[in-house]
Amino acid sequence: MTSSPLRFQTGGHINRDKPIEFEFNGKIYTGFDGDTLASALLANGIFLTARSFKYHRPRGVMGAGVEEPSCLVELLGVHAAGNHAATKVELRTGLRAKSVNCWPSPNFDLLSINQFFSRLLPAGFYYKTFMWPNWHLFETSIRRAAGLAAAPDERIPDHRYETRWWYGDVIVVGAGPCGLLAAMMASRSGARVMIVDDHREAGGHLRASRMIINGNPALDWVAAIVEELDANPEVTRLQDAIAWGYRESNQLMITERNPLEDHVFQRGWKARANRVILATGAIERNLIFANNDRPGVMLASAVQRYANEYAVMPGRRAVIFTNNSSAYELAHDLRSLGIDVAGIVDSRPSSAIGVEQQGLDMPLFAEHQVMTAHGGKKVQAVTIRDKNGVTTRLNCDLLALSGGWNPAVHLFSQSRGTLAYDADLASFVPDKPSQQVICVGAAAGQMNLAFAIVETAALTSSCLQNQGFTVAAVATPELSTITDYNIHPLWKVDGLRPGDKAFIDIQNDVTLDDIGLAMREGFDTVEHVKRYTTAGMGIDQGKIGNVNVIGNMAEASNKTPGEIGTTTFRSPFTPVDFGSIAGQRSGEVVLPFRHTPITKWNKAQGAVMYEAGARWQRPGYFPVAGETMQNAINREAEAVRYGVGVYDGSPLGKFDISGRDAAAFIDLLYTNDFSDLEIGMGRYGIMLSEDGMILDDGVTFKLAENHYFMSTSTGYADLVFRHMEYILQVERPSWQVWITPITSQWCNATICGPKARDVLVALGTSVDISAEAFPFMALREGIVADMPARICRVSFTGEVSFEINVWPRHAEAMWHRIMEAGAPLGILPIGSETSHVLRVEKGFLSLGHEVDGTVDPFDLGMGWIMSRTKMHAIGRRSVDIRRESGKPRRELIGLLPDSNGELIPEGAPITPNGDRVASEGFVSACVWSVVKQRVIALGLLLNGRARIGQTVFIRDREKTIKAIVTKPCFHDPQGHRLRG
Amino acid sequence: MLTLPCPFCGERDETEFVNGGPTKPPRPDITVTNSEWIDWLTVPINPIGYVEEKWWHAKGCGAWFTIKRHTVTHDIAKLDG
Amino acid sequence: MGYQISTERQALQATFDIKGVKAAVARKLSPLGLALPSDRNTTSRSNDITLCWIGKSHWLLVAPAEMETQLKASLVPDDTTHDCRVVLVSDVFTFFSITGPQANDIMAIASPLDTRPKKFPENGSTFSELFGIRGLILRQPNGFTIAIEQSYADMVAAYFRKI
Repeated sequence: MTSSPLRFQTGGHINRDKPIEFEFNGKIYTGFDGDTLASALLANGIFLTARSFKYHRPRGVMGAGVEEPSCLVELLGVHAAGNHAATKVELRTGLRAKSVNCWPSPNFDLLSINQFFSRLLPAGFYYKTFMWPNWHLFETSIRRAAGLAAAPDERIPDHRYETRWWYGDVIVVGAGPCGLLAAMMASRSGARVMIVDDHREAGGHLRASRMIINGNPALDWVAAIVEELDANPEVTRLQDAIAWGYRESNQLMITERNPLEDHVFQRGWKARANRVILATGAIERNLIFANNDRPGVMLASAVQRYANEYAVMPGRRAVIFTNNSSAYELAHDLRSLGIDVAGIVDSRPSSAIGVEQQGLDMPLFAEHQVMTAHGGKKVQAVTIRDKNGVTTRLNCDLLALSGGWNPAVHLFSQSRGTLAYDADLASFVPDKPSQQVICVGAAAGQMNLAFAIVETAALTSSCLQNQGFTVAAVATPELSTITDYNIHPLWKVDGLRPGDKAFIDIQNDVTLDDIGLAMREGFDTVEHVKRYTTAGMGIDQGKIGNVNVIGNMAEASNKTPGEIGTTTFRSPFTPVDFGSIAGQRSGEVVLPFRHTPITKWNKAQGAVMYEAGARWQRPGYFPVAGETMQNAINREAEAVRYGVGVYDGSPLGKFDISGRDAAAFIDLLYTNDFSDLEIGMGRYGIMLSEDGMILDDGVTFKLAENHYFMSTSTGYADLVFRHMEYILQVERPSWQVWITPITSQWCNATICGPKARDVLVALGTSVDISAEAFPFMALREGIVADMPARICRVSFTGEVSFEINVWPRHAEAMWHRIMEAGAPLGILPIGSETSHVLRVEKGFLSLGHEVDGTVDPFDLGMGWIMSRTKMHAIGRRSVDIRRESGKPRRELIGLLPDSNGELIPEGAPITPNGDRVASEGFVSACVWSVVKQRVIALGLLLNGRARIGQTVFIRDREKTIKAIVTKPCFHDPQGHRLRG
Repeated sequence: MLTLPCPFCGERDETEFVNGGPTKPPRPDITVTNSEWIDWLTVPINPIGYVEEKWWHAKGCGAWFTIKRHTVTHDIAKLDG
Repeated sequence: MGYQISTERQALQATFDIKGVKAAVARKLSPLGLALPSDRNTTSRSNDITLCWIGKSHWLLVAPAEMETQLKASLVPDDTTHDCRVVLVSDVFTFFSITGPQANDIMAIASPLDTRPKKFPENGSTFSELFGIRGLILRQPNGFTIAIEQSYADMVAAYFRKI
């Protein structure tokens, strides 16, 4: 193959033996293994890669790493994902990508007309223009015009994400020279170490430089350390992995984008160490002048990386514009590579320019600034100006900028460490840590690598020694070229005219004018300016531009940048896939789920399954072929009312409670009296929280003195357990009460209906099941169908019920025996929908429906359950205080709606006269009643009990439905049937 | 995510715990006035600084315990006494 | 499954939940030849019986299913007259074994527990989080044994299929 015109024949760290074809905007190109999408595009001469967010201006690659503001792409096909910086997309076989923000293509963009109306799109434009009458009217069309990449439509089956925890002694972030040195020292000390680096290979800035270390290329030194680290099993080295969050207790959130294992697509790490060493380096700033966003305008560090790492020269004639000494390293490299440099434009005073210029035979324009870049889709020339205003035009096709360096303090700041402004660096540096973290190298503000290495060794040594590790001295590497860092901040060039498009945030199309406008309109804090102008938002989070915003705010308000301060650094440091956070929690296990031993049978019967509280998968109903949901529910409900049904009540919460003070404990928990409960009998109780609202209800049986079997509602079992343990451990530590959750030790099949006793007879039992010997609310232990069982006579349906509790190991066998024994009697399995109908007919309350955390027993007409003698019961006092106020309350009532047989959605409000005014109640449940042959409902209504017989109005969106208020019981109000 | 010092299990990840809110004064006797009761019930402390609070080791040993945590820095300090 | 491990759902184990005063628990277990574990979140063993110290006044006894009847006779569940009490919970838990060279990887995915040997010793046993729910973790030769509430067993099996 022929090499592309912008690729050097030799050099770089790409593998020329491994060409890779890729697709960009529908065309096929070739790059090499080791390229990023950005370097491959540049090598192919693709400079115009995107259109900008607001004005649709032409944009190209500007950076070479996480700082990239403008070249955002959408990945297609098997790698589908939105909004990736092309600089962080590794070139791989089959890669397909397209530009974002351009339609139909970056070269011919219909919306680019926006740039000619830019005066109409100032800061705060959205807020000012689209407020009336409602932002949402405009939102869709604005998002289509301004939006970034589209989210993939479909789940990609091969993308297996994983998350895992990791614990160790030291985590080093960054595998540049300082990070590698720190990791090597930690590794040698015997510590368990993780080193995380966002690049594909270790080396950091050394990969982009032509540095010589100890007389050999710098990467030889890197390779030796990497080899040593990889040989230590206590070291975990992650490349192409981004540490994007610094959480409490020294936990780092890391996304490993390309794990070694083929079966893992991406891996999220929740890694925690006693000490974190941040060697995250520094990020270069851009400079603010007119048209500083043209394709071909790039960061100096990026040009250096493209030239040295990828052997790509993104231009043939360069101008370097800088306010500091670091860009001279690029000048020296370009000279070595034989690239024509039209000039170095240095804004610093001549006296400040030191040894960095020695040996460069190229024009140096000291005390000059670039006024504007010329060219549309590619920079063609720049106009520079000296301090007297004399201008010169320099032709070039590449403009390399260095506005200075910002230590990458993002993770340090996330860890709640404070930052301080360093005037010598003209940037913010780590100040006081809040966690066990140290910063080393450029991340700590040390821009001189020789010093940085010495300091890193010292800091790492004491960090390890503080943890009790023994540290051997390390040899300090000898570096070839090192100059001191010197900067004279230039927050914007002089002589900018209003209307000049001098971008301060390239990604969000925020210009210097916008910052000025925001300040004139009174937004004088940096957080407000950010939100008003959107500077520093978006995918790059202003990595190259934020400090320029701060510097310009400081200049405009005669303050120091330190007084302006920074905006908050939030995670993620760079965008990461949601999948790498969710991990294996997708598909079938996206939510936890629980089964009973009968679940498999239920599914085999064609039950419609869904979650019914506390993650239990339960049958909703059992439709036969061609049957509607309502018909299935009616058929099941009629079986219980007139024959017999059985349901799987296993999920009910169950607790074994015993100990010397168990009786006193039960009495404290429930509002009603349990002291006179006989052994072998149960009682319905209501538990309140301290605020006097209902926490749970259920039946508790007394098995022996100070030994109870408590059942709770399914959904609140965990909450009740927590409540009980809190009381015992915190409030009554001297009491001796032991609680064991036994929800899963007992499955229950509840046989209910007028023929329930007949089923039990057919099953065969050792227990006398006559109504006299085994009354309602009793518990008996014995044999049922040859299996040990605990039978409880409770009823949640209003019919005779026998809860057959057996151990799960017997549950399936018991279930089959019940279905066999009940078959001649027409027994049907019933689902939770039918249970709901039956309990609404009886007016039995359900947590989550009638009981929503705002009601007490009096509201439900259950004042009788509040014992007159138990003033100490939890919640009692609060209920009394509330009732003393005499304010009207919402009370449980029944409703007979005039709805032509249609069900009313739960939660539908009841309003005075059905007007659109504040509600006076709501419908808590609404079903078709098989005993009433009509729609019935339960609800909570202001002063409801006094309004029985009156008509109220329910609103269901635009409809108003009349309903008669009744007592909240539609079936067997005396309870003869359930006692039978 | 924090790590929390369970008195039985030692340092564990926050995901194993349930927060029980700031420590309340002991439940008053029923003889207190209504307004004293309401204050006890409804006025939780909410300082900028160290707060004594309850945690439940729900997925671990089941202990309810008390820690002193700084509401800004999350530093966990020794309990007084 | 891409990792070199094998996972297996175990048959029912005889399991007893024991709470009470330490001395009383020790007295109750001594006929079985079981001493209380000396360190928190560790186990003691006698023949086929494993005793896990899982909370301040809380132990879990695990033994082969065949021993359930014998252990019931000896431990007298539901006897509430002394300073400790035992509840049969054999059906509450489902046990899985996770063995193989990459068992540690699976634990790192499933649980936030720090399983470095200095934190979780050879005879370690503790409740922690497993796939988002509460579960017991024990070391075993070449891997781990875990126990989760039986109702979640199908979910845990589904997780094993995914990783």
